[in-house]
Amino acid sequence: MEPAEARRPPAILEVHGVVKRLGGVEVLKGINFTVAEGSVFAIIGASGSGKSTLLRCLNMLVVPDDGEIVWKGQRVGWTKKGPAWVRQKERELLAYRREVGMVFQSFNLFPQMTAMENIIEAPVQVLKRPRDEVVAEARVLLDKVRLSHRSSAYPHQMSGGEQQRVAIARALAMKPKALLFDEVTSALDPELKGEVLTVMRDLADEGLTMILVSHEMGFVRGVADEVLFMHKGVMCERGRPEEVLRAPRTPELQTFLQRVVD
Amino acid sequence: MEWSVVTGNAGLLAAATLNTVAIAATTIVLSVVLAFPLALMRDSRVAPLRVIAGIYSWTTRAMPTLALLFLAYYGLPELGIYLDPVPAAVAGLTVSAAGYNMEYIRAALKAVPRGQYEACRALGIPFPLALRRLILPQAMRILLPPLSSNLTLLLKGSALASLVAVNELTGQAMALISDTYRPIEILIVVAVVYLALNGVLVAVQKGVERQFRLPA
Repeated sequence: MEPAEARRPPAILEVHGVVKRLGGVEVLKGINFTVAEGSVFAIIGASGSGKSTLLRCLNMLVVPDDGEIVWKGQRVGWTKKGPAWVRQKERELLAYRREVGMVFQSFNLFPQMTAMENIIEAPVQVLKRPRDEVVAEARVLLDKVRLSHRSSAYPHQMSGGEQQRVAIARALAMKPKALLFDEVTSALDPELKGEVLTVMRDLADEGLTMILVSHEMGFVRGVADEVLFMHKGVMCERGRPEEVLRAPRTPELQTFLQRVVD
Repeated sequence: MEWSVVTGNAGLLAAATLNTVAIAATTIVLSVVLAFPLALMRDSRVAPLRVIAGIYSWTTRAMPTLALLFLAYYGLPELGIYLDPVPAAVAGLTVSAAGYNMEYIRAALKAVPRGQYEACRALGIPFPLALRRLILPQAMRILLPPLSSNLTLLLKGSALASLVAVNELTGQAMALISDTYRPIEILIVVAVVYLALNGVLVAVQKGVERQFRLPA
C-alpha cells in the first residue's frame, strides 16, 4: 500500500462496500473509502454519478442497501442486539446526525426565522441548552461567517451567499465533529461563491473534518486532502488532488476534467 | 315588507342562531383537531395507520353528510348509543368535515419543500418537534385559505342539523316561513346572520394568516 497510509491520523469515518439502489437502478455500486480526522475529503463527478446520494448515505438521510458506514469505530444505523444486528429507526439516527452535520445546495434555512433564530433553534430546542449561552455562541459563529450585521435578517431578505453562510453557521452551532457539504455553491452566482468558499477554507484551516461534493475544482485542488472521482456509481479514481487532478489515469476522469476546467 | 314577522319572533331566531353557533364552533374545532393526526397517518411509514386514514378519508368524503348525521342520530341507537340531537349533529358534521380537512392539511404539509424536512433531519431534530416548530408554521400559510373556505361551508352546512331535530337557524326560519307566509323578510334576516357569522370566521382567518406571514 501507499506509504502515506502509515503517517495518517486514524480514520474517523470508514465506508465499506456501500450499495444503494433507487428505483431499481444501482446508483452506488460498492463504495469504499476512509476519512481521516481533521481532513478534507472531496467527492467529484458528473451529475448522476451518485456523489450526492453517497454524501446522503454518510449521514443516513439515505439509508444504504448494503455495506456499512463506521463512525469513530461504531457501525452507523445498526444496533447489536444479542448476536443480531438490527436497523436503527429514524429516531435513533438523530444523535449521529447531530455529530455529522450537513449543508445543502439549496440552503434550506427556515423561512419564518431570522438568521439568529435559525442558528439557535436546534441547540436550544433539541439539546436543551440555555438560550443566552447559545445566542452568545451564535454571535461568534455569525462573526466567523462574516455576517454579524445580518443576525436579525430573514432568509428571503438575504442573498444566496449570505443564506448559505448562515446555513453553515446553523450546522456549526450543533458543534459537529464533521460537516458534509452537498454542492453548497452550485446554486450561487459566481460572485457569491467566493464568500462561501472563503468560509469553508477557514473551517478547513481550523481542522474541521469536511466531506464535500463539489464542482469547484480550484477549491478542491487547494483545500482537499483527498479526492474521490465517481463515475456511474463506481469509484473511478482516488488520491491526493495534486496527483489525481493533474495526472488523471482513467479516460472518464480525463473527460470530466476537460469539461469542468476552470 | 312586514318586519313584525321578524321582530315578533326575534327570540326564536336568536335561540336558533345560538344553536347554529354552538354546533358550527364545536364542529370547526373538533374537525380541525381530528384532521391533523389523520393527515399525518395518511402519509405515515406505518402501513396500518396509512390504511386506516385512507379508509377514513375515502368513506367520510364519499358519503353524504346527511347520511352521516342520520347514522349518528338514528343509527347509533341500534348499537345502544343514544345521542341528543345537538351532539348527534356535531358528531355527523365533525366526522364529515375532518375527512375534508385532513386532505387540506396533507396537501399543505406536502407543499413544504422537501429540503425543509431534510434540514430538520440533518440537524437531528425529532420529527414531532420539527413538525410543530418548523414545518407547521410554513404549512399554515398554505393551509389557511382552503381550510377557512371549507369551514365557511361547514358553518352553512350546519343547517343539516335541522333534519335531526336540532332547532338551528335555517330550520327555525323554514318553520317561521310556513307559519307566517313571509319568506322574504325572514330569509333576508337569515342571510344577514350567516353573513355576520362567516364574517367572524373570515376575520379570524385574516388574523391567523397575519400571524404566519413573513415580514417584508
